[in-house]
This record gives sequence, C-alpha cells and structure tokens, in this order.
Amino acid sequence: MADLSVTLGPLRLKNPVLTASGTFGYGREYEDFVNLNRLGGIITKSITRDPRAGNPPPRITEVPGGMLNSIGLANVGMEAFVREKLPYLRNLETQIIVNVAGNSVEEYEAVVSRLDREKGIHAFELNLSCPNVKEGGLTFGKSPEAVFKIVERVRLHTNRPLIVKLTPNVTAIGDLAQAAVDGGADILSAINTVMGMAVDVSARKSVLGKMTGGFSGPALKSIALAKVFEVVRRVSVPVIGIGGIFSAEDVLEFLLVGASAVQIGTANFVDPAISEKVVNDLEIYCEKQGIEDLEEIIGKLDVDGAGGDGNKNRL
Amino acid sequence: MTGKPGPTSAKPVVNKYLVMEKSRLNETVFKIRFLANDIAERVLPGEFVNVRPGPTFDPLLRRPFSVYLANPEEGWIDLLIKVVGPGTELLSRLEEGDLVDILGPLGRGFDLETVGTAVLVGGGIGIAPLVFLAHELLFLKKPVHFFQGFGNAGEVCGLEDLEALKIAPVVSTEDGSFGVKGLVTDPLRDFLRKQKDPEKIELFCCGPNPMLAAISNLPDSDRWKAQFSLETRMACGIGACMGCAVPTFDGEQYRLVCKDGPVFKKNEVWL
Repeated sequence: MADLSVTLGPLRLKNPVLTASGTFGYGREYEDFVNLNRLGGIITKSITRDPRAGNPPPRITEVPGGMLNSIGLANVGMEAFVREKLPYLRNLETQIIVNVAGNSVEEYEAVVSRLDREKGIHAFELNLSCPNVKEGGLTFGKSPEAVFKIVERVRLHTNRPLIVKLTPNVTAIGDLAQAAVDGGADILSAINTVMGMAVDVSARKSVLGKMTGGFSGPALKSIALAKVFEVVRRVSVPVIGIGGIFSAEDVLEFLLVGASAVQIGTANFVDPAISEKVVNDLEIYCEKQGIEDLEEIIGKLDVDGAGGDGNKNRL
Repeated sequence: MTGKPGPTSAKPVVNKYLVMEKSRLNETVFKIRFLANDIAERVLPGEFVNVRPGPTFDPLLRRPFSVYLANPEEGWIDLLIKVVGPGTELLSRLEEGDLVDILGPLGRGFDLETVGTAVLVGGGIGIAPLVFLAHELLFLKKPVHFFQGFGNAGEVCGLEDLEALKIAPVVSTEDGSFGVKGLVTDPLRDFLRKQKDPEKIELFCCGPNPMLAAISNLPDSDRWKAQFSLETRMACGIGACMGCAVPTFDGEQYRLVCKDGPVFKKNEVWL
C-alpha cells in the first residue's frame, strides 16, 4: 500500500485530500456518504465571532463550467461552533481545520484566540478573501499590507498551524502570498472563488441577490493551477491547491505543479461521496504506477522544453 | 403558529438507478419511472430527490424533484420532469435502461399528524408532490379535495393519475382553455368560504411562490392550517451549501429549503 501522507510544515495529513470551506458544512452533513476518517482533513465553514444569517437569496446559480455563490458566510458563530459542532469533529480520526472569517482584524483575533483554547482543532485557515462579504467597501484579502497586518496579529494568538487562503481577484497573487508568509503564515491555500456575475435578461436583474458572487467549479481548475504555480515559485512554505478538483487526476495536476495538498470544493455538491472516492483513486493510481510515496511527485512538473504528448501531436 | 417540522426519512442514499419507463404528459413535462428500491421504501410525501442531469460535469449541479409517486412493493419512484433548461432537457432524453445518479430521499415532507379534511392545491408542475400526498391521504382514509391550476390546456398533466385514485380535481386554467377560467385561488376561495368548520381544514400547497403567497393571504386564512412545498435553486440538497435559503416569516433569519423544508407550515417562511 502506497504512502499517501503529506507533510505541510507543522501539519501532517494522512493523505492530501481536504474538503474546502463552505462546501462541506461542519463535516457531519456528509457522514451518510463519506467515511470521514478516510479524508486527509476537513475544513469547516467559515466561523465568525457572532452567528451570521447570510445573504439574501437567490444565493446560487449554475453558469457554464461551474456555479456562482453568494452565501455570505452564513454560520453558527464561534460559541455555537464550540458547543454544537466541535464535539463531533473532535471525535473523528482526521485533521480538523477551522476556517475563520471576520469583518475586522479584531474579529479574526477574537475568533482565533477563542478557538485556540479548544482541543481537537489541528489548524486554522484564515478566509481573508471572501468575495461575498464587504463591510465599508473593504476586502482584507486584496492588499498585501492588509494581509500582512492581519496575519501578523492573528499569529500572536495561536501556535497551531496557520493557513492563509488567497484570493485570485488581484493583479499579483504572489505579492499576497509573500505578505502572508511575512506575517507568519505556515501554509497557504489558493485559490478562493473568482468573482463572477450572471444576468437575467428578461428581468434585467442580476441572478444573485447580492449582484456578484464567487465562481467555482470545473472551469476554475486551469486558473487555479496557474495561480498555484505562481505562488509556489514565489514562496517556500507549503501550498494547498484549490479549484475545480473533481478527480484523482485533478489532484495529481495540482501536486505536480507544486501543491502539497488539495481541497475539494464544489464537487462535494455534485457528488457527496466524491472526497473519499478521490482518496481511493489516488491509492489505486499509486499502486498502478508503482509509487511508494505520493509526496515524491509534488512539484515534479517537467518545466523544460515543450508540453506533454497532447501538444506534440499538434506540431 | 409554526408547529413542529414535518417528518423526515431515514438516511438518504446516493446511487445509480435504472430508468424503467418514460412517458410524455404534455409539450414539456415527462414522467420517468426509476427502479429505486431503497428510495421507494422510505420516501414520504413531500420529500424530494436530487438528480444528476448526466454523467459529465456539464451541466454541473443536480436538479431537485419532489417524488410524484412511490411504490415500495414494486420498488419504483416516479418523477415529473419539466424541461426548463439544459439539465432538465438532458433528463427528458433518458431512455428505458439508462442509469441515473439520484440522491435521496431528502428534506422534510408533509406533516400528516393533525390533518382533518385535506385540501390539496397545486399550480402547474406543483402537482407533483400532491399526487403522492393524495395517495397517502386516501390510505389514511382522510377526505381529500383537490384544486389544480395550469396556465393553459397545453400545460395540463397528472390528471389521469388522480383519476386512478378516484379523485376529481377542480381544474382551472388562466386562459380558460381547460376547466374553469381563472387562477386556482378563485375556486379555492369559494370552497373555503362555504366551509362551516374551517378549523378542520388543512391546505397542502405546491406551486409558484406568488400562488403560495396568494393562498396565505386569502380571507380568514388564520382559521385554517396550511403547509407549503417550496421550490428554489439548490446545489447540494443536504444542508451543506446553504444556497437554498428562504427568509423566515419575521424576516429575521433564513431556513434551508433542502433541510428545513421543502415543506413549511403557514407563517414559517416569507413567501
């Protein structure tokens, strides 16, 4: 049996398959479909200091190649999370990563310092880049200065692995990555959704209640691969790839590009059992290819010369 | 006066199920029968299934459908599929012997614990969960009245299945091309006005939101009970994506159609 485990700085995963925040509820929603203990880890919905009801509907719509969402960080808030959700997660034999969001630096600090008192949380992921929540016109995740400041402040409240999730909705994602590392991030994850919009022509309205939303789905993969490629060349901390992953082959693409692990997101909505299937398929792949340690292939993209077979045929 | 939520089945399953037969009910509506033992034996009226339109990821998301009929002995479920876009278009092209990825049963169905006289009110394809419900109510030996509206005669569907149950619905069309001319709420209003004991009446409604809102605003609506089955855009169907939220009646919070619904009691959500 191949070794699928991966080590991301201070965080060790039994395999590289995580579930992306906002697509896997608080884990339990998927217990009927997935042996949760088979996953590398579970990343919770974004947790904020106070409960959030979320955005007005319609909150989702399908578009070519994926979907738009504008959920608005609907969640139970940190105290209810600790009381009602964490006890279940804590009993699982997988890594529990809590995604944290807020409207201010103080809110991020408050949530992380509160949750840092709890057992059973193996890492925090900071959502600095939710495209659906803007207070006073500010989105933290877009400016390197703001990213540095918030990560530096949050870093003071926890010694657990700190992951910073990067937005692609910027000119230079590498600058954000560098700022997050400078602020004290142990690991980066990329990418969050790409801002998108859909219009109902007959009503002359945006389909979503909040005008714009986050695009995700299969069509995100090629964008995400390029962004991950950019980030891994810029910083030396481990990177988790996210975007349009629906199969083990998709995972391998991200690993080759240099991601040390991945997150499965929108695919969970289409097939609630997909995360475990991808783990199984990675095992099968390794066995067929004679790979003993999956970590061997991380970053092993051949960047010299022309592309793969697909391109040679076109010459 | 929202009461406790309706019943919910045991755990949902996700599996590939065989198309047993397909029939066309009108220009855009198809009835498809799936061999789905584990769903058929557990699904309750008002619950739904979430169906993948095809084996690829384009179209991407599952499409939710209320179960139209279920036969646990023979192990099948029927769905009514109205072609409204690329996903339902693909489903309408299914043929006998095809395998389809279905997740279900999902949600909370109609609460039948306190029903006295049942009045079922459907609009268009909203007839789907009500036929299953009528079946169950007859089994429980409850009196059933059925009001069903369509836009025009071309949209009529499902009446032969009601006939098989010996239910004679009051059918209305907006343009008068079939049954009574007008909205479904017109004959319903007259019927309700004549009731000597409105407290024994419980309405079970499924249709477009404006229809549901009109029903909840009928005169004396505080005197009878009502349950509404809602339709929204939906992704996961299992309460994870939170995409199918509808505002509560007081406008303070949201409820998820997939998990808290799709059936809601009167004054539970804002229609």
